Amino acid sequence: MPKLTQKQVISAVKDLKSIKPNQEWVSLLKSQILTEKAFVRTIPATPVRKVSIFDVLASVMFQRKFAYALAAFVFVITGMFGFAQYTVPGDLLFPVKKISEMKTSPLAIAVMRSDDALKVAKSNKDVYPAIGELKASLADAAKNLVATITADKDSLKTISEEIKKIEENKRQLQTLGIDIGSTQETKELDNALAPLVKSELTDLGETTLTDEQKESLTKAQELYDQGKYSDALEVILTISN
Amino acid sequence: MENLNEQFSQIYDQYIDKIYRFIYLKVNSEEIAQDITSKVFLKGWQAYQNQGKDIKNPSAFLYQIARNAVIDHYRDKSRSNTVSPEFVAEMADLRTNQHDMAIFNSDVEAVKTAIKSIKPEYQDVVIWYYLDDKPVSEIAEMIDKPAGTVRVMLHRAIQDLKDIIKES
Repeated sequence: MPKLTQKQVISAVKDLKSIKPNQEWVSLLKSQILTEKAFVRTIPATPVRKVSIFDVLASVMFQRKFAYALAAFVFVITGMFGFAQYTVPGDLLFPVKKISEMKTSPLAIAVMRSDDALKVAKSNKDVYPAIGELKASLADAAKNLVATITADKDSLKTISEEIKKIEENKRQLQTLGIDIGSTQETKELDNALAPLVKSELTDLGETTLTDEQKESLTKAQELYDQGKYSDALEVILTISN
Repeated sequence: MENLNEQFSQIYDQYIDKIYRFIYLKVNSEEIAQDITSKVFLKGWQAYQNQGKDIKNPSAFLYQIARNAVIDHYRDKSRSNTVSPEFVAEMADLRTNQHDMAIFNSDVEAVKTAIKSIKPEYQDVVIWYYLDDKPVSEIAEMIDKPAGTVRVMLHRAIQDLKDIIKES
């Protein structure tokens, strides 16, 4: 075989264009193929619901109505909580006020109830619900007092101030003819304070104190012995500061 | 359905010769080429009926079926280097005198035989470029290779053909 140049090879390749099928066969094949019907997969057409302008408007309006309703609801709720802050025991929205106080400490709630009781007593409203709420809050505060102090040692000053406030409100209620006095609940709060005060007195007794501090410690001890735990605590705090 | 018939009929007319030639050069037998070509277009027609609108490039689609069909053929049967006598009868007589005819047939025959001996991917690019007159860019897209690679393949294919013809 003579050696072909690249050009000759390409030329020879191009000459292969003349290779053609038998035309009779081509015609026959065409007719055979086009009569073949393939298995055509059909996907059942889901009925298409025509969307009209009314559907669009309805959906938009529904969304708007919902939005307005939601906004109105939020407004009402916000307003309700807002107004509830001014309520006192016995008022319709007072339970809403209690909900908003859920995260407040029991002793702080007791202070608020003593404030409410004083407010009611000064008005012409029925004081019984307010007194009931006050007693309940004092009992609750007594139960949680130890836990509160254990959790936060620095809360001693706050506790003392709150108890002082409650005592002050009780004295004012007394002047208005409402004597809570030594009820079961107030006794419970005092009794909860007792071990706390004793513990503080013991700690201070082992500490080096100035003469002035020693005098205060003696006074606190006397108040403790008299059962005036909150007063004793107040004196103890002056030593610690 | 009539529309599909008409559309595929046009596709058939446009590509039947090219697909047949493509297959023939790979199998070197008219009977086998006809058989495989029939399968290619039958399969193409079935696919066209089911997903006609998705077939954007009928040429590439049919050539892909053809390539796969040839591969299937060689899986089932051994390769044959015999020359079909019908080949000579089908060739258009492009030479006027006997001497030229002899040389022409000899060269074409040599190249035809040689083409079967080069790599299948080289066969494809040679057929598409030199016989179907497809541009390099279109060939590159069909085989998912860069245009530069296609040019290199064409060069190497011609070199391989030259070497095979020289050795034969």
